[in-house]
Amino acid sequence: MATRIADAVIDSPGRLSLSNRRRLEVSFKVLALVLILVPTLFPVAWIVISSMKTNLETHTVPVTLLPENWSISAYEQIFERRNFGRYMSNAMIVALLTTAWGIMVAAWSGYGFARYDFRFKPAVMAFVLIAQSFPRILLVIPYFQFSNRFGLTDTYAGLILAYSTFIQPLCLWIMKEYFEQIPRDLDEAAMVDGASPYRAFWDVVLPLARPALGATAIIAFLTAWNEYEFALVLTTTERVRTISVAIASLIGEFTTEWNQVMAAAAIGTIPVIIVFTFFQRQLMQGMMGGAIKG
Amino acid sequence: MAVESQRAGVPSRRRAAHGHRKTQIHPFLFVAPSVVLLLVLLALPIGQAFLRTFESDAGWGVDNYVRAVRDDHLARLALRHTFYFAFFSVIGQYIIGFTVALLLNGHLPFRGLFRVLFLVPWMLPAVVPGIVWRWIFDGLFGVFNELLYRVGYYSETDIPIAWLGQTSTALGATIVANIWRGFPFMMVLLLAGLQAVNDDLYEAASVDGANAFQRFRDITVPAIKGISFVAALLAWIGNFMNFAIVQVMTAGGPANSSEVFATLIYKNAFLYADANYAATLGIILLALLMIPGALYVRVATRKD
Repeated sequence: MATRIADAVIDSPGRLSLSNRRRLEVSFKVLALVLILVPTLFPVAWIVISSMKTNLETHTVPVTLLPENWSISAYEQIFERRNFGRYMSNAMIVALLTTAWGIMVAAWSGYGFARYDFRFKPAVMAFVLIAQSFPRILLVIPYFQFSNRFGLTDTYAGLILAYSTFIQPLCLWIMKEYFEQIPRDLDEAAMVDGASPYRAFWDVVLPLARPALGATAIIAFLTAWNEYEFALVLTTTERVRTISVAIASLIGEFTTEWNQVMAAAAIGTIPVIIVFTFFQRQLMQGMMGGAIKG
Repeated sequence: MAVESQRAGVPSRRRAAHGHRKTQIHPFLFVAPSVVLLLVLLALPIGQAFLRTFESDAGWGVDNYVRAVRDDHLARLALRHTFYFAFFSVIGQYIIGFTVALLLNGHLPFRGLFRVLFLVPWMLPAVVPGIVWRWIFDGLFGVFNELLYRVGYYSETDIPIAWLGQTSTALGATIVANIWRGFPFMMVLLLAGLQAVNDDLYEAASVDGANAFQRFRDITVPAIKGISFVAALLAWIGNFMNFAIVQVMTAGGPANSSEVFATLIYKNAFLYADANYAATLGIILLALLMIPGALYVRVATRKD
């Protein structure tokens, strides 16, 4: 083994070949990544390509890999005939409001969970963690009934309450984790100086948590935007129907205008792409939320 | 009290204030909004759903559970499919996610761009993966059959396979779509795990003459064991209760050949209007998720 080290150090041609090997390794890696990337992105490209075909061309054999005539008629149709503007703004309103009050409650209570100990705290925290990935298909059943009984079906309020079942615990968990990383000394010093706990929270800790508020809001917004089950069950008319439900409902029992379905899927994905492009780093951190202890 | 603590010796005051605070009202005022909300929004509906599982046409009792466990062959079928769906999804997602994470680890041109592009399937709205794969797998006009045709899989006289329309391939096709959607999540977690490994370890091992396989076995594998476990747990939970992909692609069909637990619950609740039985299946689903859920809570709340 000792001789090998000596070889590597003394023998300069050997070192050259080492850097050559590294270059070869990188080329191999890039090649392999591209090979996996092609099937990964193909369905996304296929959404865009299909959305640019005419309805006739989507029902033609053999399947064309690129549109013969590039056309935006599918986009025109879903906005003019199918009211997709409304579904977009519905989803936007529900996602934004759910996020806004999720963040507000989570910032306030998250501070409490991070700073104080009390009797049932471990149990509550376990519940908060589980609630983020609770089987939504079970929750949908009581929510359907409650909504009917209290007139919340087809209302923003009904959807916002339902979405809060997963947005609230999501925000609470991320905020709590972040507050725990802010040194206690800071708010305790403020309290020693005579500030109330609320003042210490508001003036000292909350300003420091601003990046976490942003990251949490982004994740919460995307999660709400992407939701399907609650929106499917709690909207029966197009009044508050969200984009997810609208996309899926374009698939007909007998005929489907696939260019419109694909245009709708593309439109529904645009806000995600925008958020994704600008806030990639925050999203990554959020995705790892509970999985890795920071 | 505030004025006093300003004047007094800081350390002892601080301790006193700290001890005192425990019996104060502040903690409750901070924590109460979330706790009340969680109780009202989650505990209450789940409790209500749980209670109604004991209600059926036969009266008050465990008839719904007997029906689910003993009589309903569809429930058993759906359970088996759910296990297949979750198991093969996790395996596929892990293999691809791990491969990509290994390739992305270390110095690489366009690394950031690659990472973003690989994340795209994960970020799509929940219905979109099912929608696009349904279109890709379409028997008549799907591009998958077109590609198979072009590589010579079909002869001129063959009738193209309706992947979602025949019982032998429907579930498999939904698993493919689900692997596609879910592998980026594995990739992100595993990549984070790989990046936590100190590069010096690899250097030292190479200097000691360890080959690539030995370095992988003795450094990489132990380093990402923990995160692999967490990622697999989370993926298992998510896949086990998946609704959107199967509902959009096949709605459980044809002839229940791709029926999973979530789609069966939906059918019972909203097509057969049997909410009590649907809730029973939902509670069973929840119970089946208890073990992985508890494991996850233990790992995630561990203080180290």
